[in-house]
Amino acid sequence: MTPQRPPTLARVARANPARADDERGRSAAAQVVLNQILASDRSGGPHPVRRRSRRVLVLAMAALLLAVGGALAATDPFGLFRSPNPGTAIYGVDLNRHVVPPTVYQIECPSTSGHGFRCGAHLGGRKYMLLDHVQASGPRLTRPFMQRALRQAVRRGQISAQTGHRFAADLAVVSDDFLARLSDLMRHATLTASLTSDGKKPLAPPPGVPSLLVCEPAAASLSCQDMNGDDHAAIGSGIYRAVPSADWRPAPPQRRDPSWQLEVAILGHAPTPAELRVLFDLATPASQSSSSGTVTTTTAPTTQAP
Amino acid sequence: MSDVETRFSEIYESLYGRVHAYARRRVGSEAADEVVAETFMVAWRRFDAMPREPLPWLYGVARNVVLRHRTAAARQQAGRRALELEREPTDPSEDPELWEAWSQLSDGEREVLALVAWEELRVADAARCLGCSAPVFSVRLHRARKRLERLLAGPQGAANPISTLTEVS
Repeated sequence: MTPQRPPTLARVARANPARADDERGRSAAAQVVLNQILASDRSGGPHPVRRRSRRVLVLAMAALLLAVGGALAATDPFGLFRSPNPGTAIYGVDLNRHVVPPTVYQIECPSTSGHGFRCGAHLGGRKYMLLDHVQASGPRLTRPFMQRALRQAVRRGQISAQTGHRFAADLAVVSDDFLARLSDLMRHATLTASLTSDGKKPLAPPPGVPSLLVCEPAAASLSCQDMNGDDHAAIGSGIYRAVPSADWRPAPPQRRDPSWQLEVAILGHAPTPAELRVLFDLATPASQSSSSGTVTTTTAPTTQAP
Repeated sequence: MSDVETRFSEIYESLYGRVHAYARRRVGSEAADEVVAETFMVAWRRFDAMPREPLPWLYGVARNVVLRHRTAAARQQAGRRALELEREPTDPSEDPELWEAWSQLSDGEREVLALVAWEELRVADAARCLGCSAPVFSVRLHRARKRLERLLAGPQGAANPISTLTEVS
């Protein structure tokens, strides 16, 4: 700073509309943010989250739809598209909806019931922390796309020429309708957040309090809903994790996700052998790539498709 | 707590207020917390790149966060003047002529003036914050100051009220 300012700058300085408070960084609110930052991974997203591969889920859901029809996903009478475990959400991405990604780091929700409840920075209520944003699951699995991806995979050495030929032969005998359903299923994924207060014992929120929210901007606040079971999450939506509070209790033992039950129950009979082969063909290259990753990793379809 | 965490915490606690004031002047109180949190999150992830004198660097990060925030806000609220520097309701009636002239400056002009007058940065540090050289910043500052003076003087360039102000160290 120069010792003597021109009068204009002095006048501007005196009109300073927001003077710095040097103690603000030690306030309780600032310390909460500091702790959250220090708890996050310096190389990427926050620690306590992992995103599973879509591979198993895709297999199970594909088998389900082939067996009992696509209408099931819309009505979900058996709760198969929701995870029974606290901290886990099964969700679907709406590829036709994009929203501006919210950046509010910590939000508060006065109410957490129903669809489209309001949350914001200083609204009071349950606290949630920003973890990630919903990402596009990738282009649709059309036949031309899959054939092109196969050729690329062979060219890049990701699969052998022999395997490429086999996959192409499998692909040739399944219907376009099957591929369309499969493409729709690729929208789905699971997200698991480790919910702890001390980094040791898993906790669960009280009944009715979602552990993961998906939020879209809405006027001056956010419109949120439970991520678990949301089949139309817009691309760019914020994914928020609940912050444990005093009324949280030890989490019950983990139960098998519906995807696992479905895989065991259905994979044996409903799909045709050719369709099953394509499902496994799809899964094979994915198991060789990094399709399951951290919060910030996009599960790119090009790594899932051959 | 590791050494890195300790060092970061010290910087966070000592500079939080400055960065918060910077953000508050540009996006208002509501969004300032969010901008500051995101700024320090970036700082944490890029802590290795943080220079020994971190404040101008932090202002640079905060500036990018603010720009992104404004872009998002502008998309969400079409028609609202999201790029206008927000005036806090602390002293709206104080020096109305200045605010009137201020509102006629460009975003760039306001930014260079604010970095020196409100953030109290030296020219070299302010230039670093904007990613330009010190001479270039000096030229921008000079032009912005002259433009503000002309606006304050009115269309005829008559009696300039600022000439009667005392200097502020």
